[in-house]
Amino acid sequence: MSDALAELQDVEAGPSVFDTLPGHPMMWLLIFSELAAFGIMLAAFSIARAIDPAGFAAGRATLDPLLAAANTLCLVSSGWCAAKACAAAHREAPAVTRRWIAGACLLGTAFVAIKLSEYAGEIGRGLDPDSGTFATLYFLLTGFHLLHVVLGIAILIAVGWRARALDVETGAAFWHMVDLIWLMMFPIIYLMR
Amino acid sequence: MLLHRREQTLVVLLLLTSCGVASTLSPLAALAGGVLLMVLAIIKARLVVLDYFGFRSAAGPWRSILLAWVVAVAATSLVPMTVSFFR
Repeated sequence: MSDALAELQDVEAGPSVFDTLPGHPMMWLLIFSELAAFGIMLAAFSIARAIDPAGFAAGRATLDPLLAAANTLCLVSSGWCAAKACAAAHREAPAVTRRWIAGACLLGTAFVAIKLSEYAGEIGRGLDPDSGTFATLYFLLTGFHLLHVVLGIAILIAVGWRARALDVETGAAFWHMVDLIWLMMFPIIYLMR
Repeated sequence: MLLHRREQTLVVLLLLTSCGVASTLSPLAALAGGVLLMVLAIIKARLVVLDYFGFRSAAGPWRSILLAWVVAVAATSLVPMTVSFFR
């Protein structure tokens, strides 16, 4: 009787608002908390720039916006590969899904390689995490983001193994979050005067 | 041949990224340049939310929450230019 009542309540309640989220709801808990953390760090960066505009202008001049633009192209293209992998997983085509995930991972790895070479150049030009507020916040923000890119690649490899639709959607949601954060970080850190 | 929406989104994202980098070469004032960059960033982020996350047809508050985060970050980033402008 109680089972029948519970079933009836489920039918009457309809789909939960969480059902409209792609992937596993727990991943979205992580995504929203990561967005909050990056939002706070980007706000701190902007406030610090308002306090010390000259120091931030000097720091920005040591960065290479073209390398960062190349990284943006890598992440945007890898996000597209991840979205294509989701579509293939829904069509239950595991081989195609794995190919798109491999493409997303390759482009993500290119992002990591470009970012590390960028760090090497910047450190060679005398910019290190202790060389002022700009440098500290720059390395904190981009380094934290870089860790998320590496974690995202690991998650994509893990979900690509079985290539089930829910798993691929969950991994792709994390990857798109990494993409979304970079799309905001890139102009704020590298381009704004 | 017409491109599918996801492919169109990729092309637009790549073009807007190039436009953003090119705009920094223009003699726009810091505030105007900053506003232009943030408008481009919001458009790109909106496309990612709608076509990569797949929220174009999603009901519920999720799309609004993600877009509110984007707009809040963009607005906060314009604070330094606004302060300099009114100084």
